[in-house]
Amino acid sequence: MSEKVTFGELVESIAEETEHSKQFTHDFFKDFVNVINGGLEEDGKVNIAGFGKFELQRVDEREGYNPQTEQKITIPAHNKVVFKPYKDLRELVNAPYAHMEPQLIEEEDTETSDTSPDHQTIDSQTEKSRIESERSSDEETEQLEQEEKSEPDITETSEEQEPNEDDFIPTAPPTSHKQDNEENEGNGKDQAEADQESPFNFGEPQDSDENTAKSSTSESSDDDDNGDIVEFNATQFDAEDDLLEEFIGSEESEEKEQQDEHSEDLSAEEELESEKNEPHESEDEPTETVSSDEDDKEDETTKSEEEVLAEEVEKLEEAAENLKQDQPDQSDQEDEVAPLPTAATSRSSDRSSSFSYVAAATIILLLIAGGAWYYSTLPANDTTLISESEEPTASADATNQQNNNNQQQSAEQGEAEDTQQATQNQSQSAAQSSATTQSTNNTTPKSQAVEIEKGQTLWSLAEERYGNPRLWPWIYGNNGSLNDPDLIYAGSSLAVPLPSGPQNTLTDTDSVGVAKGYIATYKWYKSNEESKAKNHLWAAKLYHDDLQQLADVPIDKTDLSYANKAR
Amino acid sequence: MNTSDVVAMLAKNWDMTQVEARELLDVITQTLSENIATGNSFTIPELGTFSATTRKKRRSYNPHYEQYMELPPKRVVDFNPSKGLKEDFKQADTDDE
Repeated sequence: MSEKVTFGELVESIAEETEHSKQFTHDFFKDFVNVINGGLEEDGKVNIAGFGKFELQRVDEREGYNPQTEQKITIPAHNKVVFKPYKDLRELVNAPYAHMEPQLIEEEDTETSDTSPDHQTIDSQTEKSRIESERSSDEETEQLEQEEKSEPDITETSEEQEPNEDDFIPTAPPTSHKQDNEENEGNGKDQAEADQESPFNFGEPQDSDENTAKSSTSESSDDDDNGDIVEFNATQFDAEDDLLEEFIGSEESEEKEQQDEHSEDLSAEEELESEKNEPHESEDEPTETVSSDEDDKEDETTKSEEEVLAEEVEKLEEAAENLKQDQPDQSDQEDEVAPLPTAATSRSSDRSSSFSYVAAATIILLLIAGGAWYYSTLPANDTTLISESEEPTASADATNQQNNNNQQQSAEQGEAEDTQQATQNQSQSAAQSSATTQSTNNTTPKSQAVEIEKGQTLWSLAEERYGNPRLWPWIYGNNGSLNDPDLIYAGSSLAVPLPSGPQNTLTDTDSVGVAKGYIATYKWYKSNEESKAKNHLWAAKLYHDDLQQLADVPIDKTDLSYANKAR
Repeated sequence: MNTSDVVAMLAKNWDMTQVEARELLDVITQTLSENIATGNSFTIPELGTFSATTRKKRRSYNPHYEQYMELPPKRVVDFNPSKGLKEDFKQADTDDE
């Protein structure tokens, strides 16, 4: 393929083609080069039609480095000669790759997701600690405020992540779920006080969900953060586990529910108890203050690397130490809350024994409320899902639930998904269509306006454009304003049709156009009673079989029979 | 300077019609183009060396779609001006344009 061709060989091949002597071709070629040099000297650029442009380009003064003397040198401003190939040459050279088009890369998150596992662990830890701290603290209000502050950030990030088709759905729940948590925290006492209020909680999360869903669908697509999405799911389910444990705890001690009816204090206690249990189950036990600090920091540094993780571990250790000190205070404040649920159960069982019906109702309501929170993101079919969700609640299998959740949500949130996918498809199709239109524009423009230069003929124009001068009637036929095919005027503009086949080959429609052009010239010559007219008809026959169909006037029979000899 | 100027000058130098000169010129450029396209490299004395090089496929960010794209490999014309030509025009005072 890539071999060196000498100037002599070039001259030889040119001489062969032009049927000139080698000597003449050589000298002519040399003169051509001289003319180019002269032109460059004269006005700094030389355009050669169909080939390229030689141009002088100014290079400004710049700092350079001489590797031999290892000194910095100043390269003075100078000109350099550049060659810019024209489109014809560019396409000819690029022909091997012409069929390839730029493609949008779908899974470019490979780069970004490399670091996400670290984020995952950090985030899930902090998420756990956040939730636990919410539960275990007296200063719920303060934390609520913090939560509210940090909440917008979370929504933002999750919304940024969402556009990834299916993944988009799971991302909406975490935010809403945390909102639910907030509501849960906020309503916790009220709810225990009067469970009748819980139905109202069904509505609100849904509304907020719809809002987030809408806003998220309107977000532009950016699928960098699959890892982060997963991570939010994980944290979500941590939170859900906690919730579920809470409910399970309440289920186990029915009489505790009865306390709810009796006193606010007791219900608060009981909540705190069940919440207390969770820290015991999971290893990291952050205190309110430290963990809340961590929360803030974590929000800021969610994107950070393992160093942060290390710091985190230290902090957690500190937190654990602090907890030992804090816990007694806490328990004091909380009216001697017993750390274990069994103690709570025994205490509560003492308090009441005759409210079993009320307890059952409370459990059911609580379960419904829990289910509602859990599936609050689902816009439709809530009831069926809730009934389904109660069983998984008992098993509390986080992964299964995640799968369930994903499936159900992907099924149920069809609308949101559809719109999301629609937007994605639109953008993708837009990209593709623009690419294709570009390519079609590049490769197959119908015709091109060409200004006739002095000394140019249709013949030479056709040769220049198509490499086959005999296609010139095509240009003539394409320009109805032309009268005499042998007479064109320099400076006037012609619409030169371009072959639409690959590599300047003619398609069928092009051939018809050429045939029409030949018929047009035939008619002109015929009307001027030139004898060569029939030759044009004959040529037209070469490009299209049914001449009578193309010609709108009857064709002379003798000419037609002459033409029919062709092919 | 454009093609017709070149053609006019050549026609004058070689005492031929512009049509002839242009046809000859077209054959020359055609031959050069074909040679570049087939991957041959050649040197034209006092002008420079032409060859074809292949740019590798690469990734690029499309800010409009906010996505990365893979750009296909591309074969381009490479031109190295000959030393004489370079030196001739090196002086910055030859103002271009």
